[in-house]
Amino acid sequence: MRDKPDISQVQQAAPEARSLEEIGSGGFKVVYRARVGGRLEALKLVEIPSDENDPTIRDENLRRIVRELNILSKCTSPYLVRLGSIPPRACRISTTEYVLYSEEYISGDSVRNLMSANHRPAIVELAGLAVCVLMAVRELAGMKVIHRDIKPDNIMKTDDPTRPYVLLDLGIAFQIGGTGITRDSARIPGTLYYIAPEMLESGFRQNLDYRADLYTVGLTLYEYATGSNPFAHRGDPQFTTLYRIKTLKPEPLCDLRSELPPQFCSLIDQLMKKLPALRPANFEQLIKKMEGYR
Amino acid sequence: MKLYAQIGHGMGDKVGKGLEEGLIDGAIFSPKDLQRDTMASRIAEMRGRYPGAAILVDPQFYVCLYANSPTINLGNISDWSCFHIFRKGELELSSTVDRVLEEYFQEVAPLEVTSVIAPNIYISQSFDSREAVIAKNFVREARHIYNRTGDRRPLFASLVICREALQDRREFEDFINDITLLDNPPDGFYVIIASRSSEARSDIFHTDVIANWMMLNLSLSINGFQVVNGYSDILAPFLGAAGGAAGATGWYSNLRMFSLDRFFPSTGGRQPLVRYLSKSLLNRVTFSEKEAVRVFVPNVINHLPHDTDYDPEPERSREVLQSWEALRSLDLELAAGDVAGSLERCSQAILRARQTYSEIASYELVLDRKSRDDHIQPLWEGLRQFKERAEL
Repeated sequence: MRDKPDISQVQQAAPEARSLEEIGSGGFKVVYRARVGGRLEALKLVEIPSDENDPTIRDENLRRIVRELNILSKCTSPYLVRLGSIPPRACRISTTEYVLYSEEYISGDSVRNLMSANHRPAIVELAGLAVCVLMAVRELAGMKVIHRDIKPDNIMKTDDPTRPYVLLDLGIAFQIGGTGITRDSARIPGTLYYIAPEMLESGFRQNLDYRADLYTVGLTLYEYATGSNPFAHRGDPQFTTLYRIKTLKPEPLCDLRSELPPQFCSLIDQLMKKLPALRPANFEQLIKKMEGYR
Repeated sequence: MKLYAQIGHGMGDKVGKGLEEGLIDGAIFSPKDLQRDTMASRIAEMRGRYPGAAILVDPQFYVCLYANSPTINLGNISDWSCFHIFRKGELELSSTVDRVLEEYFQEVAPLEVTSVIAPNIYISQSFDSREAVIAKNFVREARHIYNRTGDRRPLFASLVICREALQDRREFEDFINDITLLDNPPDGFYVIIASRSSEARSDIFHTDVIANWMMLNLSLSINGFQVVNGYSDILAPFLGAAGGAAGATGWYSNLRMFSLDRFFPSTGGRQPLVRYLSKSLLNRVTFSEKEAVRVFVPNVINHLPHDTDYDPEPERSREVLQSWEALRSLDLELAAGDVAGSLERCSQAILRARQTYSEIASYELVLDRKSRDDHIQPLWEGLRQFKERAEL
């Protein structure tokens, strides 16, 4: 986030939270570990984009964030992060408006951290991750919500066997950022690498469905399995990455991880197809197939 | 892939023989061509004699928007009390769609079909049309209404699409994105791709049409739907390679390729010649052509049991058994167990056909217009385009 607020200002805006420590930030949000009522929680500060020429944009964005958080509060899947004890509210710090709320604090390693440590997951681990994330996406899809920001950074591996992987961050920041993608290239969030190809079509919002999440589940699994994102190369211009997302057929996973079961590899390849209709979208069948590899 | 008999009039004992010999796996009945009571008894008899056979009825509701035409030949469709003449505007109302589905399901229920095909209208021009909106509504509502009947047999939604609609890639992709994600899906789809006229073979053997018909099969099968391709004839094994569950063809040219001409009086013409389906040509040649060519290019012969029917020239009623046998054999040759492997075999089959035609040409043997190699290039290009777009 540009112009991140000072931690003392955040503390003032959230007096019920104590011992704030920044643990992450993205294009439109900052996340702090905080103690709330004696419990560790993740305090989130999400910038509300506004347009001085159109005040309704700010209100619309705020309503959308609150609506999506309300939906998240109704989710029961153990594989989705739960809301914390600070309900969403608007706040102003300096001249910027934010939504502030908390989520449960998930301890463990993100899949991104595991990748950075050159961890090479075996089939059992990949399938386990797939099952947890697909179950989370299924629950969201049942509520007509698309996560929009599934990526290695947003999946935590925990020590809890009842929820070995937890999907974080409902993609609210990205959804907001989405409005700016075509208007302000400086505001393209870090999640650019994890954008589904159909989101690069004009008018995608009318046609977007949960298969955009299935694409990013596939991409995350592919990246975790191989250690690299097939579309994004360090130092490449953003346009090149977007072009690859739209046109490049990734190398088949089985060519890069030949010891993985070929049918598992082809399922991951299939989830990454450019055309949503070519992605297997039946959750029951998908989860059953993935369960077979655990 | 399974192969079904596309039944028209003049059924005779062909279907029974095809089932008995294991050349086909089932049959699709046509309300136009059989009186309702006759159809019911034929179906019951077939169920009794061939309990493993798939038996379906194509509702042929797709002619409803044309039923006002003074020259239309509805045959026995009007025996079905659920069949009415509609205007598009009436079918834009969900309540009308629901009523049509409800009445049809009630009427088909007593028939001993193994699966039920839901009615739909004909998408006659493009996917960006009122017709396409109505057709999608039929697909969406089918399961919902069917569940009310308590019938547990598998349900197929139908898609009856003119070949022109398949030529706009963007609209086609939007359409398949829609129908592959349904809240209350059927078990499968009965797909008919319609030609402009029963004579216009080049209509269907067109690169975009072949590529998109294959895309339809792939996208639906990936999403767990069974796809039965009506009137698919020689394309059936190729559609099977793309994920299709079944193809169908019959004994007349209007049962091999669909066109609304089937519901209008024939323009006449001579009695069709008996033809032989050669796997190595991916086409039919006349009996006399087969006899002339085999001397120089022996591999036009399939070397399958029904080849003996062609010594001497058989009655026309035997021709379809040879076709089913050749298609069944071709399908077995093309099926590799996975889409990529099967498509590779499809490519090989087309290359072989191209080579066989070259050999025929090298002997300066002249073939009839329908027997020539006009289908090879669109088939090759269609397959290439399909593989590229499906990222295979």
